[in-house]
Amino acid sequence: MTQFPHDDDEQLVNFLKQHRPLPPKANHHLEEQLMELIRREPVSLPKQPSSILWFLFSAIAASLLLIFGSYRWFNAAPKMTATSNQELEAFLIESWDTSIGESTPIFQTTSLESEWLIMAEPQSTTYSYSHP
Amino acid sequence: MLADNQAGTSDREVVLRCQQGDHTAFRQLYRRYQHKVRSTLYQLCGQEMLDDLVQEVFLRVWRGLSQLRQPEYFSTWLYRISWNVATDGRRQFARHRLERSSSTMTDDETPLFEMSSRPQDTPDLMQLHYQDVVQRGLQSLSLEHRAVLVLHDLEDLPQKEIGKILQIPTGTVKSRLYYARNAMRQFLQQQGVL
Repeated sequence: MTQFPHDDDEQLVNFLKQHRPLPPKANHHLEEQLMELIRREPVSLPKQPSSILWFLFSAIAASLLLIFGSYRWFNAAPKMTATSNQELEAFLIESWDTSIGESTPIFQTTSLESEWLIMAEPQSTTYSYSHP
Repeated sequence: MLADNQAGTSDREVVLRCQQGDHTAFRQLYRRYQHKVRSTLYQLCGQEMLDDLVQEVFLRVWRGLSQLRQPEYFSTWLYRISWNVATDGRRQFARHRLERSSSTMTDDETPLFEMSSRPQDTPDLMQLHYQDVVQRGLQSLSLEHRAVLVLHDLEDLPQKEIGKILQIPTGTVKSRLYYARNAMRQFLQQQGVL
């Protein structure tokens, strides 16, 4: 009778499992010898960032904060005095007057505005982008 | 292979305790796995220096536990260490054989697979005979083919995991298994036991 390869494999594996060579029994002292060796070995704990690294990072962060703080302390913004307030006020008034007093401003129209003008003034044949 | 939960505590828990330096947990781990390690090493290397090889495996485990990132895959990792120890052990045996060139041994692997007489285990002569034949059949395979056959057919490990242990593609595991089974079958047929 012809057997399929799978059946052959199954038969072989079953035979191997049934008659597998069994190892001789271990030396009675093997476990204790091993534990003794383990006790002599230095314990190597899982690697974590070392405390030196943590100290280094903390020191760098503290130094940066100190430098930034002292810079701000020594270069604090100057307080506004009464004189400077008056000067500022005068400057603002002057620049405002200059801007108001200029020649009539030219208002540029956007493309949307120009389209609106076309729709609002259909009779007009000429139109400009600027108001007189 | 993912950790099973045989004795109430999973491999993961035990390994984590070992990683903290707990010797009792390591003893638990040893007792849980020493039979598998011993059996695998015996089938790969024979009985010479078997105790030493088992001890070496667990020593390497202890030293390397801190680097094990996924404790749930402890079993796969352990088999890989066993495989490394087996290959290292065979190199040592080969050196010893060279040194003992005056020996009368003709079969270069005979010292590794001496017939173990265990009268206390089984008195059945046929069983002893079949075990001897299987042992010699394994001996006739190369270490690579033997490892795949032992891990897959005797230790019941899946092919994917064997690939991880031996660091070879799953396709190579399949082809080696195919070759090893054929060679083993032929050997057993020649011996008239299959």
